[in-house]
Amino acid sequence: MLTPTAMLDAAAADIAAGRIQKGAYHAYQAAFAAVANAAQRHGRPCANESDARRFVRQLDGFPPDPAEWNCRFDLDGVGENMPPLPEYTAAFNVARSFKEHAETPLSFQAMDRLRYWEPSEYADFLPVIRELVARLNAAQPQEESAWTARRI
Amino acid sequence: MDRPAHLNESRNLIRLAAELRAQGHLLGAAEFIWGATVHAVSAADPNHEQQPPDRFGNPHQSPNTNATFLQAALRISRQPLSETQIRHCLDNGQRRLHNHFYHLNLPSDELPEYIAIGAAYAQAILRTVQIP
Repeated sequence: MLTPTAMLDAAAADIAAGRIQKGAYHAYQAAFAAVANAAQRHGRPCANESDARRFVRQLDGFPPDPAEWNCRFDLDGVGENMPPLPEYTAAFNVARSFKEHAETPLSFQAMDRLRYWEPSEYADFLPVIRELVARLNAAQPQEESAWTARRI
Repeated sequence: MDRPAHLNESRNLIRLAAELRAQGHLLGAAEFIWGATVHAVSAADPNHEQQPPDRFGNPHQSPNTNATFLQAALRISRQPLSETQIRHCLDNGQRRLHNHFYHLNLPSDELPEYIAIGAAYAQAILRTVQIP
């Protein structure tokens, strides 16, 4: 079984060799494996993508029930009482983009450049996954949600 | 448009997105968050007024493509985001929220998350804007 870092190296090699969809899938697998490893360390289930999303949301402090999610608006522009940027969830969503791109025929992607990357951009987004894998080693779930208070 | 105009529009769109979000109009809130993000980057980009006109002849093209957004976001001098975070912001804003505006392709249990993420990144950029 490859480590997430080794999977990412394989992804980078595939993308550099022009096998972008194979590389994209390896990139997603690396992210998923790293999330699953972190979840396991904290005794959380992580058998599939839904479990992984639930766990990364906990790392950013999103409440478990999506109905309770709220934006934090800072209308006075000073940034007080704003939670940290939800980087784990945002980075895992980039990993999901890799998976989606891996599963979508390139001929279809070429017709929708708003949604899909240019072939050259796959390598540009790989550092997002590499940083996610590295940060997950020290990640701690947040039980207190920072995202439920409404400030309008 | 010049940088003060982009700053004003970004703040307006954040305020409108907050109102729409509170009313449960998530589609409108999502699109306004992406708009606020692009205007915030234009306002924060010290070289914005040196950018070429867009294809319609309007001065100072706004950074609404992958390449132009990244270039403009990386020029921000009081940089609030790492390059990795700029890519989070771009993926979340353009590929998720803006795409959803046209295709309605985000599940209803995911859209609030993308809006919350987009709002957080847009406001992080907006807070750095300094216009002499």
